[in-house]
Order: sequence, then C-alpha cells, then structure tokens
Amino acid sequence: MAQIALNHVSKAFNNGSIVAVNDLSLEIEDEEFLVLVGPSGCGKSTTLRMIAGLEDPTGGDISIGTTRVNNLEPRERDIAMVFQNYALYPHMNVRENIGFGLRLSTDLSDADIEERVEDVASLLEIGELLEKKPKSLSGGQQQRVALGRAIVRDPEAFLFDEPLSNLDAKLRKQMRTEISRIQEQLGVTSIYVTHDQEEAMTMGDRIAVMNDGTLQQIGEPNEVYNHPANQFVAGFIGSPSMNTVEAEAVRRDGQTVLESVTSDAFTYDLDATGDTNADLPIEVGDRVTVGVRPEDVVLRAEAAAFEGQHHTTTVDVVEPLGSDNLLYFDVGSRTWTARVSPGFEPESGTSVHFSFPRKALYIFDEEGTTVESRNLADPAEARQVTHGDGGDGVVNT
Amino acid sequence: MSKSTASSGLPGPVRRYGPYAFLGVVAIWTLLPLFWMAISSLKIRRSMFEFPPTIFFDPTLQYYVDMFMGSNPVTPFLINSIIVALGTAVLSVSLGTVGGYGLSRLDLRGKKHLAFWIISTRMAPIVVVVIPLFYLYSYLNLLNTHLGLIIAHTTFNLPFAIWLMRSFFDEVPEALEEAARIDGATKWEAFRKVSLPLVWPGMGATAIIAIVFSWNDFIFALIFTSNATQTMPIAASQLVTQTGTLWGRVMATGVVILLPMVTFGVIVKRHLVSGLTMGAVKE
Repeated sequence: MAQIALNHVSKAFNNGSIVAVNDLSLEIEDEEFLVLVGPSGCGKSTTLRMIAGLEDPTGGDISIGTTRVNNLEPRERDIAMVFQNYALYPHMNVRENIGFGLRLSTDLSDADIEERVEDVASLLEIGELLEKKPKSLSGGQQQRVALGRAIVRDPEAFLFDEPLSNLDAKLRKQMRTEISRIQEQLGVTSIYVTHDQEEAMTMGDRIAVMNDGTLQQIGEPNEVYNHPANQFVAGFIGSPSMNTVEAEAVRRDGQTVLESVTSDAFTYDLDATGDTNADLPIEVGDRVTVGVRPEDVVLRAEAAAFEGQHHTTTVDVVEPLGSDNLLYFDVGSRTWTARVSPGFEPESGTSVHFSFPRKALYIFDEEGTTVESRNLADPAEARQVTHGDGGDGVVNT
Repeated sequence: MSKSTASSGLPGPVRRYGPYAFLGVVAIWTLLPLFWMAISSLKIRRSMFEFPPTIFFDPTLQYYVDMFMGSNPVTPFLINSIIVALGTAVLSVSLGTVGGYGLSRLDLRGKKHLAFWIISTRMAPIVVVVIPLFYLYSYLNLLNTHLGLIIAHTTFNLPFAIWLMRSFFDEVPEALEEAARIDGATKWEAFRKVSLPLVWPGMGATAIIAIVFSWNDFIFALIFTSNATQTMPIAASQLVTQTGTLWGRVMATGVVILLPMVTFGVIVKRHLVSGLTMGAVKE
C-alpha cells in the first residue's frame, strides 16, 4: 500500500493547444479512497491515466510510495486499473482473465495462481463463472471480473475509471457499496474517477472536484457539499443542483438587501433575520450570486405561514419521487427546485410562497468564489421545517 | 403482412421471394460456367461440342489421367503454385499485420496521407510495373525463382493486407492493451497475447486474398518464370498449341486450379465469422 502524490502535474495535447490538466497537485493518503469528480472533459480521466502510466505528463512529478514514477512503464508501477468498458480479454475465460496479470508479473507457480484466482472469485461471488468467456456474462458479472482482475494482484493502488457508468441504476448502487466494502476490507489506496456526484459523495473518503483541467476543491464529502469553494463546486455537487440567482447588494431603509438583477422578482433582506452580517465581506453595490440548496427552500401554500420575509411564485412542474417531491418554479429568469415532503403536492400553475433560512444562504462573489456558505448546525435543520409539518409551519429563522 | 407491404411499397410475394429469385439468378450466372467446365472435363472431345449439349453421357477420367500421368504432367506446376501462394500469404499476412497495427495504433503525423499512399500503390495496373520489375529482377537474379514471384505478388497484396489488418485492429479496443500493460505486459506482450489473438479472423481473410491473387496471377508468372517455376495458370495456357487447343485438358486443368480454392474457402469460411471481440467491452 502506498500514498500517491501529484506535484504540479500538467498535461497538454496538440503541442500545448489543448490543456487537459493544469498544474494539479494532490496527495492521496495511504489506504485512502479519493474520488476525482467533474464534468466530461475536466481532465479527471487524463489525470488517472497519467498515474497509471498510460499518458505522459507534460509537466510535474507523480510519485507512488516514495518512488517517482514519471518514467516508469505501467507494468512497473504496481497499480491495478478498472476500466469503464471493463476491457476484459475476450479470448480468455474468466479464470484466465483474472490470472493474466499474475502470470505476467509474478513468479508464482500455477497452483498458487489458481488458488489466488479462486480466492478472489469467491470474494466476488463469481466462482461458478470461472470457465465462461466474457461475452456470455452480464454487465454486472463482467464488472466483477474486472474488479477481480485488479484485486488478485494485490497492488499498491487501485485506479477506477468510471467503472459503474455502464451499469443500470440498481446494479450501480449495489456495486458502489461493494467496491467501498472491498476497498475498506483490503485497505488499498484507491483513486476513483466519476462524473456522478452522487457516487463521489457516497464513496469517497475525500473528493476532489475538477473543472477545465483545474482542481477546484478537495475535501471530505460533507465539507465540499456544505462549504463549496466556489460556485462551480456548489452547482456540481448536490442533486438537484443548487438554486442560484444573480443579485446586487443594495441599502434600503438602513438594511442590506440582496436584490435580483434580472427582474424585481427577488429580494432578500440580510438584516431582517437578526443575524449579524458584520463579517460578510460584501459591500453595497457588489454583484453577487445567491444560492440555496433545494432542501433548504421552504414552500407553503399560505403566505400567512411565514412570519418573516417570503416570496410568491407559481409552481411549474411537480415531480413526485415517493420519498419526497421536487417542485420547479421560476425565480428571476432561473428555474429553482425545492425538495418538499410528499404530502405537499400543489397542482402546476398554483401560486405558492417560499422562503429560506438566512443560515442556508450561499453567497458567491463576481468571480464565483464563495463568500459565505450555509451555516446550519445540523444540515437537516432547515429540512425538518419543510418536511415536518407539510404545509403550515413557519420559517425557522 | 399487409402492414409491412404498405411500408415497403412492394407486394408480399415479391418481398418474400424476390431476394431468393435474385440470388438464384446470381448463383446460376456464377456457377453455370464452372459447372460447364466440370462436366466438359469428363466428356470425350466429340460430345464436348455437340449441340444441343448432352446432359447424360459416359464420363471419362482420361484427361485427368493424362494431366498427371501423361507427357508434360501438371504436377510441378501445381507444386510451384502452392509454394508461391503460401509464400505470398505468409509474407503478406506478416507484413500486413505489423503495418496495419502501426497504422491503427501509432499517433503519426500525416497518418491519413501515409495510408492513402500505401493503397495508391495498388492503383496502377500490373502491366505498368511488369517491364521495370523485369529489369530489376534480372539484375537481382530473381527471375525464374519462387522468391521473385513471391515478392512480386506480395508487393501487390500488401496494400490490401495493411488496410484490411488496420481495420481489424481498429476494432480491437485500445483499452484491452492498456489493461494488459497495467497487468504487467510489455507493449510487445500486449500486442502478442491480447491484440493478435483477436485479429485472427482478419489474418485469415488477408491470407485468402493473398492466396487467391497469387494462385490466379498470370502476368507475373508468365513474364518472370520459365520451366522450373511456372505456375498452374501457365500450365493451362500452354494447352493452347499451334496444332490446336486441347479442350479436354484445359477443362480438367481448370477444375484442378479451382478445387483447392473452393476447398480452402469452405474451410476458412467458419473462421471468417467475426464477432470474436463481442463482449470484450461494453460501449
């Protein structure tokens, strides 16, 4: 087992005209499960391939354990990789697929190899598939074989390149748990690339969010969710995405008010809540983006349900999810989402009222950097208000 | 039925039997001359030219016996043909595989132009290069050798071989080799143990094309060879003599030229069924 370090690593293609990874520095602790997450083309897969040795970095150093591996062939790095398309050898049966690496890279006897293959197969519950060819396996089974091929070599690190994206939703969740379990059990340092923020949140000890080849933030899942470094991370992590509206800080009747710039659909009085805004680093006249998580939006049918400030809007679409409902409505020119209890299901076109606690507010400056993130002692605090009494509660401010 | 008729605009029976009728016509078109050749090789000369032709006759194997046992037997020609065809196949497939792999995998500048240049060498008619090659061969002492003919045939087969093998390698996902390299393989091992077994059907197809070309070639064989190295098509042409054409032996020779190709085709057909890579990756 080993730690992995990336030190100012860059990768450019086409003589530098396309920069896939830009000055990336990362340290993955021994036995840690790090998830690299970001949209397509953000450089996460390229990063993984550089660690694997399948791409050469154009700058910076990569080390595994105490060894600088920049000039080592993939086979010399003692890592295992699980590919998005599994990359099983179609002409070999499952037994040969799993044993292939051992035959090439170790001096183990045939009997020892057999034993290890059998062990891994039983760990993954694919013992009865050993004589089958990959093409006769289901997607989930192929995935297990690919996993087995990685595990059997007992490598310094596992690299996962979107390994679950070809599975159906149910199987994906199942394999997610399984990969986490196996990683914990074996204690192998792992880097897991995905574009699925839910996978990132549920699997990673830490998650590293990338965009445009640049690292945006690295931290524990809850930290990244509650305190995103910037507007990109805030929008990318969390589903449905964070609601945002562009606003300007203005002074009205001695109060600091956030007023939406696109229309007068939205104003939010920062001082009305009684919380101090003394350390809020925005000045009157500043352009900011206001963000609220869908679960923090409180929706009520009656305006009277709110004691403090609230806004009126029209429900656009209601998506019942069973456990809760998603309501879509317009604020300014943006579509907002609210996650509400399943009991609250207004018709499309009905007028409703919404607000959100001051503590749930995110504020981003003009560059998108987070100025303030939500400060709920218990992140579920605001949610309980929304869900608890399903229609006539008050805003908890 | 009525629904599908409406969609295709063709009446049901035409849709159902049309393809068979068409294939039947093509089959007759292709096979009738071969059938004619085969039965003519079993007829005595007189009945060969009867009109209307006889369908029922006393078959004779006289021409076949003459061909192998009589004067000027065909056996050396047959052996030459086999040597040259196999040599051409081995050389074309080996070089084509390596070249095709390179074109498929390497990140070369101007790769498209290189690929086009390779196939463009095949665009000139054979007769254009025969005379220059003859001079070249006479300097290199390659005239009247098996090797000379093998090189000439390979030269003409290689562009096809490279293009064909390239398309087969394109079908093999690069991730397979990458997986192998991470599993502990060198680049060469990844090629030999993972990619090569998967393009096996492609190598078979390339071999067929090479063998068919070499087996049927007349011009190179006519100009570059003399007695010791002449191939089957030359043997057939020598049956047209100043005193007349030996039709019976021409027909029998035709059958002997054809038979190995037909047998070979039937054998390798099974291996040509692609789909070996199915299940390798999930796209």
